[in-house]
Amino acid sequence: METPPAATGDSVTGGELRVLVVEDYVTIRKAVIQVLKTLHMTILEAGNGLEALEVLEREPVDVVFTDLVMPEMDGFELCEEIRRRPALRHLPVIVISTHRDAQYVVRALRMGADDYLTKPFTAPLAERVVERAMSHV
Amino acid sequence: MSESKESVRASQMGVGEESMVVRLSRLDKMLELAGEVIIVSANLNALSHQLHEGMSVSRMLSEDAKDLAITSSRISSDLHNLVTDVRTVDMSDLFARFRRLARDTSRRLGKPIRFKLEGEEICIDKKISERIYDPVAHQIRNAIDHGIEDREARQAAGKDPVGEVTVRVRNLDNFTIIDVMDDGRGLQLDAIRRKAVEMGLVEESAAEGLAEDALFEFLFQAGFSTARETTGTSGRGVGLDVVRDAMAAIGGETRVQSVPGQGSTFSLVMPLVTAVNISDSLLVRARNNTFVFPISSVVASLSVDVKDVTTTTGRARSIMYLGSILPLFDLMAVFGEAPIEVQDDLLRVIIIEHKKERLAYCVSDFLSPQKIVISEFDEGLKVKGLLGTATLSGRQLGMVIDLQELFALTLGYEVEADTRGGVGRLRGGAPASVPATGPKREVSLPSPSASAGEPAHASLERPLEGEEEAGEGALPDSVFLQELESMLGRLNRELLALDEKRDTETADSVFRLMHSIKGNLTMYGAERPAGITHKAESLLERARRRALELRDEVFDVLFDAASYLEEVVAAFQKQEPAPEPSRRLLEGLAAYQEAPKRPDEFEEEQDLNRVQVKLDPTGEFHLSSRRRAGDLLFQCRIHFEPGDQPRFLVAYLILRRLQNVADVLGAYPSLADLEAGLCEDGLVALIAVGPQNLGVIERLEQNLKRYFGVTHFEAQAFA
Repeated sequence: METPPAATGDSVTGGELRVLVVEDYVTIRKAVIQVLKTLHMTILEAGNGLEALEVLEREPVDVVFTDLVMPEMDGFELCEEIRRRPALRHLPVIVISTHRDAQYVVRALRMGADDYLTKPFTAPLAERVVERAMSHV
Repeated sequence: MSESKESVRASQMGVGEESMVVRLSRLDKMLELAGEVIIVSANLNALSHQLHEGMSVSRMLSEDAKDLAITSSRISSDLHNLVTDVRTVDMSDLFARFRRLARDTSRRLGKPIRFKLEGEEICIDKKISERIYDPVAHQIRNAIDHGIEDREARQAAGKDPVGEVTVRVRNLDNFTIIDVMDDGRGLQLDAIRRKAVEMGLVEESAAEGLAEDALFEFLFQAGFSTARETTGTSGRGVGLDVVRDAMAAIGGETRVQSVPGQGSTFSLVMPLVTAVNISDSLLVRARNNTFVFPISSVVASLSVDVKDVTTTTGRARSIMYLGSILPLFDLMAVFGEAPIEVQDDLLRVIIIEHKKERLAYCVSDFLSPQKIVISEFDEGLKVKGLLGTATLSGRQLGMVIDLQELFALTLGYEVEADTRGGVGRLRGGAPASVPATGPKREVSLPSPSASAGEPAHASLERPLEGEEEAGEGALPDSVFLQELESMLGRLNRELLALDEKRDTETADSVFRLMHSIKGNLTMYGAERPAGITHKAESLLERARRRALELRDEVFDVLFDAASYLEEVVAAFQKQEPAPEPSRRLLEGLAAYQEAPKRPDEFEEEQDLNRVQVKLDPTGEFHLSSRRRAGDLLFQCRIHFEPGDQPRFLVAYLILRRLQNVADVLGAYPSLADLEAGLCEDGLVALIAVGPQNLGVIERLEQNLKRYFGVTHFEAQAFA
């Protein structure tokens, strides 16, 4: 498989989760990636919702971490769009945001997000949330 | 003064009307202008009159001028009425506070009472409404504490064991009267007499002869109280003297009526509108001067034959009027001028009433009544006995009588400067006693004497002090404060409604309101008060889903919180920091906070009736249409540790997970609660599972325990 331009994973090995990080601020994106990398995840990046959809169209992704407030297409719209597309309907989406109030959380969950993390978050919490989102009864 | 006090929320005038916040200072300006228009139209009227009489050539013109004058005076009068009306608020906010106070006092004293309020629709000036709470509150406390007897005494007297206190608001002529009535023991004349002697206010021998009216007067002396000991309720360092001062400051007065064994009535009487100095006045001439009397004070104007004037020893004169003897004075002489010369054998006399006292003054002539605008004397230029001047039609200047001072001048009161609450006295030393005006047992009490800087007497149309330029440096906070103030008004009303109904719907409404108040306080940067609202809010949150029984003690706390918030807003309005909440309030709130539950307690306390779903398996479940016959019902009790995430979020995710595998018929907290960010320790859900799918329960438990921090999962099946 050709290495995608957006992929920054150290090594693309089959066993690792492929995670798409959607965040408009590069420094914050890097910080998030730093945390996720400790979990041995393969990281893909996007700067907003539209870019994320482009990546999702051509790359297999296991989990999406997305910011809420972004230009072009924000995190809410991205959630909605992902749930609308049959191919992506079951893709776990975890919101990463600085907003802590219920209003944001609830809206994100209603739009189809699976979970919600407030930035900054720890690696164990991210791991737990990812496992939760991917688990089944 | 902060700007918010200067603003009035027009929405208070009527529900459903469009509203905006208007600065009172602007309205006052409008009123002033309206007043000027009145003058102009009066001048126009006079002009048209002259035209009519003088110039036959321009008859047409004069007719036009007359029409114009009539129109202009009608418009100006409408304008005045409208603006006056805009400044008024009805009694609903005040009544809610009174009701709360009565409830509070009655509970604290352990004295049940019936509390009645009449006249909620009566509108009073917004500023007046802000100032009468304290005086009326004082009277209500007094009535409950001292007026109403205890149960045993009432029963022994053959009365209804539950006493009744009524606050009645009514309009009478140009006054609004607030009566605080109780059906208690009435004022104890003997006790008052004894106390007066004890305090050295009157000689023992003289005390015996004092009439009831004179005795009641003592009540208004600073430090005078007939109660043997001050109770926590009434003994707040506020005496009737302060009440009377407060009333005098808004141009009002205080009256007492009492019948032994039947009760007392304290009446607070205040002018209907004090917004601006426009008043209907009677004009009189005394020599070359024109004097202006408020028309409401004029009992009669009459011509008296010189022969009918009685001159007693010395030069004191009097006349008979409707069967009573009235002392007669010369208006000019009162002001220290040469007396009026009598042209014929007829004296022109006006009879003036002020605070139930009547005096007769002879004048030179009567002029027609007019609407006038009073310009008050500036401080320091004040002439004793006069309030100010008025521009009259024909560019004449009228001198506006200050009734309080005129009477004082006439009767020789010593007006003691700077003694708050000092009582004007006749030089003889006894309380003023002027021929009684009627058989009624209503007593009038002299107003406190005016202090130099702040004339605190009952001039009818004077504005409240210190309102003029204060509102200019508008604070950015004023809108918040305004908002807060109106929210607190609502809070009061809704709390009382909740006290009455004690239902979840009202509790929910109060909860939401408290939440908004919290938001407002937080925005205002008031952390401490916001913390109080937060605690009150969570108390209400539990009440609205019946997790907390709304007992009287809970209301004590809630009302305490409301009082505290009122104090906070009052402090902010004075640009002072928020006061510290009282220990009682903090303890009260703490007592009703939910203690963190251990799982076993959780088991005990969860009551599925709260789930709003009937758990009777034979009952109907309306929450799910998907439920099929044969489905088994499980009540799942779930306890979890949310880790680093918000509790409501994890609960929401758990609930969602339940929904993925089963039909959720009901849950507590509900999805709506969770979306509002509300969640306690546990989650209870009622789910329906098909008989072929029972294994899902176990898988669910495993999944939740593994990934959702669930520490306790129990699914109880129903038949």
